[in-house]
Amino acid sequence: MTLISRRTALGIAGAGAIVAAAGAAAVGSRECTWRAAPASPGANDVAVDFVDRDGWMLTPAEGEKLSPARQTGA
Amino acid sequence: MFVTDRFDPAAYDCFIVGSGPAGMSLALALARVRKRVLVFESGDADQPRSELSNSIGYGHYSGEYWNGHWFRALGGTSALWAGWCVTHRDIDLDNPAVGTRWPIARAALVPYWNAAAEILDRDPEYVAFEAPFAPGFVYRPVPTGPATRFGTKYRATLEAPAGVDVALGRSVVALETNGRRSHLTSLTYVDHLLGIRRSLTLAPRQSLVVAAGGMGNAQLLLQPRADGAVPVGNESGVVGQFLMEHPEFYLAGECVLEAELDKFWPAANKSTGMHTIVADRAVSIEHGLYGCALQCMKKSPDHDMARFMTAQSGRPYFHYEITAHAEMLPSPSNRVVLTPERDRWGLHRPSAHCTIDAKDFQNVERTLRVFGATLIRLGQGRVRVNNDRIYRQAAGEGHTLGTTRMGDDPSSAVVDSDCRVHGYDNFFVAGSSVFPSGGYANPTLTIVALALRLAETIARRA
Repeated sequence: MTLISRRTALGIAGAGAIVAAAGAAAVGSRECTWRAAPASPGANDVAVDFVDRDGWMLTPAEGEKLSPARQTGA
Repeated sequence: MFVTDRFDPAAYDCFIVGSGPAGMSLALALARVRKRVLVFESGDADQPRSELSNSIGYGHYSGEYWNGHWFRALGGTSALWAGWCVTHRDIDLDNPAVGTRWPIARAALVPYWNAAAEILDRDPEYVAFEAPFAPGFVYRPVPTGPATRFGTKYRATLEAPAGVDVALGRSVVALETNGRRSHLTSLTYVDHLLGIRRSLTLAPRQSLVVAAGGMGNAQLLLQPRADGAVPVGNESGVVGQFLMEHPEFYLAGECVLEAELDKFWPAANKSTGMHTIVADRAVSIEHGLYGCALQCMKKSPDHDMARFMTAQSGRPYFHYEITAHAEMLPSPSNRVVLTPERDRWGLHRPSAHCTIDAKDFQNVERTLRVFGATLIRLGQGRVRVNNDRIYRQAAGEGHTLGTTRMGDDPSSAVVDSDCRVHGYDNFFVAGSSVFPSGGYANPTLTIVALALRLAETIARRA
């Protein structure tokens, strides 16, 4: 897939494009990560967070869209 | 007035070692209740005696680091102060994640913070201002403004005949005690201009306060005695231990916030305050967080993520860079010790070992992540964590904390809640060296507040 930067995606898709932009960036760049937060002293810490290729934290919905692409390496 | 030759020691109610924010605030407060005070200052009125600040650092704060924040002239380190004033919160004084409790409740400090704010030329209401931010987080701006330079502000006051005398160019190098170590009996000082040592006798009614900075206080109270006995003031054995800084992480992260959350920013802000956000007590307890202020800077709508969020929501967003001002866990292995090397007056050179703990780094990352998760849950913003700025580029704020810590237990603390050295009746310590934990707050406001509180204690006994 072609790398689509967030800036480009915004230009193409306009409002509501963050999920698409993040997903595109992830698939295209393979830089997106999906990781657990650091170990916490209890069970109440942030359990899992999703980040886009630049490290911005994403919503779970956005992250779930990224995850299959990451896992398949598409 | 500035004393230039011999003086009559018996005329004084209190001797103070150091003329920085702690020592000078204390001296002037005592003068207001008609107590006679003599302040020893190593430096001159205008010129520092920098060669006396001779510590060597190891760990995250190495080499000459601590000397850059140990200023030896009238007014002490206020000459270098950046002017930031903020109060500690309840949880900064008693946080289970830190494991150290201050023996003073926050409410007991409030009147002294208010008085200290006026000395530091700040609005008392502003130094304690806070407002709810997002759930779980509190907006606590830090007033900055022009820094108060004590040597300048009070010079005319000190030059006039009044209750405060200042012995410039004199350093206290030794303390002596009675056999039971219940009160100090004499002190020895050097006169740098004349190149001589002199001693003076202390009567039990006369108080002595060491207010020579976090490094200087430890250096004096660690000096070995010729007879091999425990150094005067270190009967607890913990002088020098629990050295702390406030680690600073420039650009530890960035965030975009919905403009609605911007309403707490003072409308009249003209770069005279730092906009900081901290986790509240409940979130701190829930996540095991301790001091970490997220200073949000360079507000701008002109950022990709801000534009995205604005476009997605139809509501305006701003972008901010975040610098984190954090707390270090107090650790006995972070400490000031003396080296065998001595200066010409016989004072051993201090060595400072200070390492930021893995938990301290993780505390900053975790605070940012919890903040980001909160904003996502609310749909009001996003956070980006800058890993390398946290874990590879830590700096410091020039705060030397904890080396003569305060506590109720004489076996684990140097001074009690009145800043009196445990076991003594006329021996006190002032300054940030008494902080049992650091919180995230800049210390000068609390240094002055504790000095004003100490003035009342000393006035009662004199």
